[in-house]
Amino acid sequence: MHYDIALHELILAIIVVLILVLLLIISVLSYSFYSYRILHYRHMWKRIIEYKIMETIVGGDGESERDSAFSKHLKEPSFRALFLNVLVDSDRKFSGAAKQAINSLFHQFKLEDEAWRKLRERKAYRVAGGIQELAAMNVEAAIPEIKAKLHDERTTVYQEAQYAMVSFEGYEGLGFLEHFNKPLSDWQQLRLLYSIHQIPEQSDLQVDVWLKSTNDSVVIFTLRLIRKFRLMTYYTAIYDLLDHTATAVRVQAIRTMQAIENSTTVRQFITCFGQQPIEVQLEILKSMKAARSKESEEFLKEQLWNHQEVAIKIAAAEVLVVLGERYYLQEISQQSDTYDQLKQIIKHALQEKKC
Amino acid sequence: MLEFSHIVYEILVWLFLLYSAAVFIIYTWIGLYAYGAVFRYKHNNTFTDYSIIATNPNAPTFSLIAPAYNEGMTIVENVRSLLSLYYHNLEIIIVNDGSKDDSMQKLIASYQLEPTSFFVQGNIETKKIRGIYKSKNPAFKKLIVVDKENGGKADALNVGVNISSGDYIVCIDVDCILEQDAILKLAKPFLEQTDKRVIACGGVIRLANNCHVVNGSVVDVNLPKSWLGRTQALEYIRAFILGRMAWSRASGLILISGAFGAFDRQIVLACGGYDRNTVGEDMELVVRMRRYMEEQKQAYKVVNIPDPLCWTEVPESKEVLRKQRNRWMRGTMETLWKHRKLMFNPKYGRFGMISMPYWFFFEFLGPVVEFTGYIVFAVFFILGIINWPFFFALFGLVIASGVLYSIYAILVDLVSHQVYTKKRDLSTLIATAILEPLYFHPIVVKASVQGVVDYFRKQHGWGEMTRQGFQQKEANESVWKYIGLRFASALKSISPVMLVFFVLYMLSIGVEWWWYGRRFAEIADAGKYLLADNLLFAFQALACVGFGYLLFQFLSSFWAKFLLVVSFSSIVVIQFILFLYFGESRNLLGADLFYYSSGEMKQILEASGMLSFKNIALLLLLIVTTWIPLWIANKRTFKKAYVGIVLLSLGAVSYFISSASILGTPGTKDEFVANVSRSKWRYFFESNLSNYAEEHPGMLTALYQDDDDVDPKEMDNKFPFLKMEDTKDFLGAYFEKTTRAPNLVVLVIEGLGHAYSSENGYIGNFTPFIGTLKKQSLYWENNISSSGRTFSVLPTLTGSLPFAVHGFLEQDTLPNHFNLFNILKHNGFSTGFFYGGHSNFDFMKKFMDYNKIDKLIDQDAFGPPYKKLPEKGGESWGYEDQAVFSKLLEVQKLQERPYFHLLLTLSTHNPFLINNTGYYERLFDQRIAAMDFSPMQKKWAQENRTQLVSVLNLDDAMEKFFAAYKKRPDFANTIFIITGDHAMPEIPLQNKIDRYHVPLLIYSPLLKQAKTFHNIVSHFDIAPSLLAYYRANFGIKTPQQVTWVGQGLDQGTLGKGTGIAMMQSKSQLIDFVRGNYHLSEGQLYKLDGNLNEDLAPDNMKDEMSKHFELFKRKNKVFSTQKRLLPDSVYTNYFSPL
Repeated sequence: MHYDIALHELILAIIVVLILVLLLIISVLSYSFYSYRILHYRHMWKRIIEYKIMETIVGGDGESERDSAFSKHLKEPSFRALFLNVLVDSDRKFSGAAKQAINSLFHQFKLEDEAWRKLRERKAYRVAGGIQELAAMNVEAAIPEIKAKLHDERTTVYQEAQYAMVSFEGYEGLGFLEHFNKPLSDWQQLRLLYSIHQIPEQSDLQVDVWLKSTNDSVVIFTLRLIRKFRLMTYYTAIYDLLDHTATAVRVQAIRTMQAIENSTTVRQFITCFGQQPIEVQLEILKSMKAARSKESEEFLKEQLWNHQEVAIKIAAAEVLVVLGERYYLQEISQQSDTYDQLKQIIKHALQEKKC
Repeated sequence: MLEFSHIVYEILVWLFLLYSAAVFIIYTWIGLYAYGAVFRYKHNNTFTDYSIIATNPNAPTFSLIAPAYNEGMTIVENVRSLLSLYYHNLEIIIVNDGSKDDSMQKLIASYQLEPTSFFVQGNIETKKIRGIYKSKNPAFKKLIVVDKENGGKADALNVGVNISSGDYIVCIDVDCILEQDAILKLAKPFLEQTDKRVIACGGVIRLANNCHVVNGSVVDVNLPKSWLGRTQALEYIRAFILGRMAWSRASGLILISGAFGAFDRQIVLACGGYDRNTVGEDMELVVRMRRYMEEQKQAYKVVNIPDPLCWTEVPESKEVLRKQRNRWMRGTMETLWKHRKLMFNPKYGRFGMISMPYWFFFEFLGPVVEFTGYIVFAVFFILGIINWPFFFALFGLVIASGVLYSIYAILVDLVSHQVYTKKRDLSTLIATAILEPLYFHPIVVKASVQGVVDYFRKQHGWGEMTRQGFQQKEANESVWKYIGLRFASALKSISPVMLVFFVLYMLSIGVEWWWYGRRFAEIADAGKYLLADNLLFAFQALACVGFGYLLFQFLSSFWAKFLLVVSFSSIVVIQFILFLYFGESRNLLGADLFYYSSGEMKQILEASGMLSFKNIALLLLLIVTTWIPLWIANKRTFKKAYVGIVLLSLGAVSYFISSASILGTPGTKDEFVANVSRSKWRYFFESNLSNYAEEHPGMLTALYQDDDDVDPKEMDNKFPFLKMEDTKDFLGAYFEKTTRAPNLVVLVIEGLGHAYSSENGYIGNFTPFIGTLKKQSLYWENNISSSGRTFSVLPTLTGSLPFAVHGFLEQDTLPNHFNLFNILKHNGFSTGFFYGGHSNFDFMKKFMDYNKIDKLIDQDAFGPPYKKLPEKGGESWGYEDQAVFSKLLEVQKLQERPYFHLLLTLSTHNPFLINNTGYYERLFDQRIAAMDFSPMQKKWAQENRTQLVSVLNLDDAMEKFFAAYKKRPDFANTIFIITGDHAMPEIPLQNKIDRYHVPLLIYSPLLKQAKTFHNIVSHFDIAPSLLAYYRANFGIKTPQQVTWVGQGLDQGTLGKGTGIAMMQSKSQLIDFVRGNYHLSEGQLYKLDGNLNEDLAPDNMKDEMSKHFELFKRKNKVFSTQKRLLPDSVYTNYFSPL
C-alpha cells in the first residue's frame, strides 16, 4: 500500500479545487447581479403596489393604462407574492373603510389562492406566512384548517395559528390554552393580549381552569389577561397563587391583585410578605406604591429599618415618600444615630438634589 | 541529519496544508450555516409588529449604558439621538469616564441636569463616582448621567451596570448611532425565550463613514470613500452576517461586540461585570457569562440577529486600524488564556469543545500561522527550494477562496438586509473583495502578530478578580510565571521515571550481550560498541520523550504522565523484541517490518514458532516487569529539578555525538559482528525514519537534488528505464543449433548462497549435486541477487525490473512491463509457476495473474502423497522441495509447444525444518568428515548445522529431480537455470556482498561445453540474455524497446549501464554495484575476482554515489509515474503476431 501522495497529484487536486472555487465565484457573482436586479424590481413593484393601495383607499383617477400595466405585472408570481406581502403589511396600519378597501383588493386579485397554497406547503415559514395572510385578510373559511395547525409541532406554525385564532375569534380563540403544554413566550403572550379587545359576557371559556394550569406560562398569560380586563371575580383564585412554586407566577399574581385590588389587598400583601422571595417582596412594595394605602405605613417603616436587603429598604422608602412621609424620612436622615447606609437610601428615595 | 530535516520539512508543509484545509472546511460550514440562520430569521420576522412592545407596560425594562471619554464635540447630539429611541421602558445611562474636556458641562447645560442623591445598588467594584445627575426637565426623565473618575471603558460600563435598574442592559459606544427600532429588535429574542434563557444578544454593526447623518439618524447610506474603509465594510459584513450568525445558530457564539450588545443584567451582576484588566472586555464578558451558565447547569443562549441596528465610525488611517487590531488580538489572547480551563473541557459542552477551540485555532492562531507562513516562504525562497507550480496553485486557491467567501457574504447580505442598495455599491464591494487579500489583509495580519508580541512583552497580569466567585485563582498568574512553575514541577516529577528508564534500558543491553554470548562465538569485541551505541541512544530517547512530556503536560498532566510511562516501557520492551529477533534471524529489524501484510506476518511468526504460548506469556511478563517500576517511579517526585535538568541536558548533548566518536567504529568487516555492535533500536528507528523520508519526498523534491550530478537528458525522460533492445546473443554460441525453441525451466532456490554451495565459499560446498552440475553447465561464480529477501527475485529474474518503492510486486497495480512470462507466452510457450507455499506471499500470485500464466501451482494444488514441511507452532511453510520438483514433472506433460516454468523452493527457509532430518544430518556429518574443510569452515558449518542440513536436503531433492527429468524425452530440449534468491541471513555473512552472492548455472543437454565465468553478473542480466538467445536462434519476437535494468550476462556489472542496485529489505535500497565496486550504506568496497571485498579508497566513492543516486532517481520517477513504458510500446508488442 502506498501512503505516498505524489506532488503532482496534490497540485492536480489543488487545481481541481481552485477551478471549483473559481466556478463558484462566477456562480455567486452571477447570482448576486441577478439578485440585485430582482431587488431593484421589487423596489419598483413596491411603489406600484403602494400606489394601487393608496388609489383604492382614497379613490384614484382610474387610469386604464396604469391598470393594464398592473394586470400585466400580476402574472409574475414574485409580483403577486410581493403584492400579498404589502397588502398584509398595510392592513395592519389601517382600519375601517380603508381596511375594507385593502380586503377588497385581496379578493379582487384572487390573492387568497396564494395564501391557501402557502398554508398547505411543507416549510414552516411558508405555512406561517399563509396563516398570517389568511388571518389578516379575515378569510374565515380558513379557520378549520388553521385550527388544526394549533397542534403542529413547529413553533412558528402553532404560534401563528394561535395568533390567527385570536384574530378571528377574539377571546374565544384562546380555547387552545386549556390543553396547551408548551411554554408560551412573553412575545407570544403580548401578541395575543394585544389582539383581544374585549371579553364577551357569555363565554364557555374557563379562566379559572387556566389559572390552575400546570403550564406556568399559561397561568402568567391568564393573570395578564385578568389584569388587562380587570376580571375582579378571580381575585380569590389569584390570591391562592401566592404560594405557587414559580416565582414568576407569584410576581404576576401580585401585579394582578394590585390591578383588581379591594379593601383587603394591602393587608393580604402585608400578611404574605414574609413568606415571599425578594423578587416577590419587591413586587409587593411596588404594588403598595401604586395602592397608596396608609394601612401599609407602619409595615413599610418596619421594612426600612429592619429588612436585610438594601433593594427592599429603598423600595420601602420610596413608598413612604409616595405616602407623604417625606418629613419623617428627612427627620431620621438628619438624626445623628441613623447609620450612613440608611441616610443614603432615604436621600435616594427623596431624590434629593445635591448641593 | 538530512533525513531529519526532510521530516521536519515534510511535517511543516503538511501542517500548513492541513491547517488550510481546516480553515477551508470551517469557513464553508460557516457560510452555509449562516445562510440558513439569516433566512430563518428573515422568514420568521416578515410580519413582526414591533409596536406591540414599544409602549407596552408589560415589556421588559432596558438600561442603555454608554460610556463616554472626551466626547465633548459630539456628546450632546449623540445623547439626543439615544433619547429618541423608540422604546418605552428604557433608561439611558451616560457614564462620563473622567473626561478631560467639557463633556459634563455640555451635558449639564443641554439637558438641564442636576446632581441627585442616588444609592448605587450594584456591587461591582469600580472607580469612585463623582456624581449622578438627572434632568429637571421631565422630557429627559429617561436620562441618567454619571460622572466618575477615569477607569477605562470596562470600569465605566460596570458603573452603568451598578446603577441600572432594567431587566436587560444594552452596552454601546456613545459615538454609535442606533437605529430607532434597535431596542425593539434586540428585545424580541429576550421576549421569545422559553426553555433556554437568552443571556446576551447582539445585532449587526454597520459603518457610518461617509453616510449622511441627520438628527442622529443615518438617512443616506454610502460605502466609505477610502479602500481601507471599504475593506472594513466588507469585513463587518463577513463577520456579522456570516460568522456570528452561524455561531449563533450553532449556540457557539462567544463574542457580542462592545459597540452594541444587550445582556441579561442579573447574569452580568452574578458574573461580576466587565473585567477591567483586559482590553477585550466584550468577549471576556460573554465567555464568563457562558461559563457561569454552564457551571450553574442552566440552559441558555447567546443570540445574534442579522438586522443592522448600529452604525459606527471605523478607522480610516492605517495607524489607528493597526492599534485597533492589535488591541483585538490582545483581548482575544487574554480571554483565551484566562479561560484556558474551558478548552477541550467536555464539562462545558460545545462551548468548551467547539467554540473555545475554534477561537484558539482560527481567530487567534490564524494570523500567527499566516505570518509564520510568510516567514517560511521567505526562507524557502532564499534557499531556492520553492516548487513554483505548487506555490502558484496553492496561492491561487487561497486567494480565490478568500474572494469567494467575501463575495458570498455580499450576496447573503444583499438578499437579506440590503443596506448598500446603490448599484455601484455592489460593484465596489466586489472590487473590494478582490483587492482585500492583497491590500488590507496583510495590514491586519501584521497588526495581529504585533498584538501577540505585545501581549508577551508586557507579561500581562490579570489582577485581582476575587469578586467573581466562580473564577479560579489561576487567572491571576502571569503567563511567564505560570510556564516557569509548570516546567519546574514537570522536571521534578519526570526525574524518577527517567532514572528508572535508564536503568531498565541499560539492563536490557546487558541481557542482550549475555544472549549473544550464549549463541555466537567471535563477538568478543563487539560488547563495548554495543554498550556505547545504546548508551547514546538511551540518552537521546530520554531527551526526546522528556521534552515531549514537558510540552504535553501543559495540555494534560495526567495524559502526559501516562504517555511518558507508555513510551519508556515500550522502548524497553521493543528493545528486547529487536535483539531477540536479531539473535534468531541474524537480521536487523527495520522498516521492512511494515511491508508485510498481517497475514504474511502471522505466517512468518507462526512458521518460525514465535507465536507460542510460552513466548506470549514471556512477552506479557516483560511488559508487566517494565511497566511496574516505571509506574511506581511515576508516582514519585524529586524535591529539586536538578536530576531532570542534567538528564535532559545530557540527552540534548547526545544528539551532537556519534557512537563512533566515542570508541571509533568496530574494526571488523564482518557484517554480522558489525550488526551485533549496533543499537538495534537506533537501527529500527533510523530505518523507519529514512523509509518515511523516502516515502514522502515532499513538496519540494528539489531540496535534495544536486542537478550537477545528473545528466538532464536522463531525467527529462518520462520513462527513464526505457531503451532500445540491443542485448547481444551471448548464449547462442554455447548451445547446439536446434529447430525447436527449447523449453526453459528456472529453479530458484530459497536462500542458496555462494558461501555454502561452492568450494570457494567461506563455509564450503554443501551442495554436492549442484557442484557436479556446475561442471556440466555455464556457471557464473560471481553472481549477485537483487535483494536480501525473496520479494524481488521474480521481477528481477524474469523481467530485469526496477524496484519502485518497496519492491516491484508491492505496487498497488502492476504497471505494464515485459518479462519472460508474457514474452514467451506471446510466442507460443506455455507458462507455469511452482511453489510449495502460499503464492499470495510477497504478492507472487499477483505477478502470475498479471502474466496470465497457464499453470499456477501452489500449496493448494498439492495433496497426498506429497509431504508438507514439518510444523513449528502448528504452522508449516508448505510442501517440501521434493514435492514441488515432483509436481512439476507430474503436471508438465509431454507437449509440442515449448514451455517456460519457474520453480521456487521452500525447504531452506527459516526455521529449516525438513522431513527425514536424521538422514540428512548423517549426510552432513559424513560430508564434514569426508571433505577437506579448514578448521574455520568446520566451525562455521557446525554453528549453522540446521541450515546446512536443509541445504543438503535441497541438493538431494534436486538430484532426484534431474534423474527423473533425464528419463523424459523433453529433457533433451530443455534449458535449466539454477540460482538462489539470496543468501541465508541466518548464516553469518563475512562481507556485505555475501548477502547477495548466489550461484548461477545454466545447464542443458543442448550445451556444447561447460564453462565457468568470473565476471560479475546479476539476476538483472538473465532475462535480457535469454531473450536475446531465443530471438537470435529461434526467431521469437521480442519487444524493440525494453526496460531491462541489466545489460546481459556477457556485460554484467562491467557493462555500459549505470550499475545495479540491491534492496537489503523492502525498505532498504542501500546497496549498489558497478564495475568492481560495491557501495553499501555509504561505504565503498572493492570486489576482487572471488567477490571478496575490502574497503576501497574514497576517490571512487563520489562517482559511485552519483551513479547510485541516478539509479534511485530513475526508480523514483518510475514509482511516482507508476508507468515503466508508454502504453503504445506495450500494446503494439502484444498485438497479434
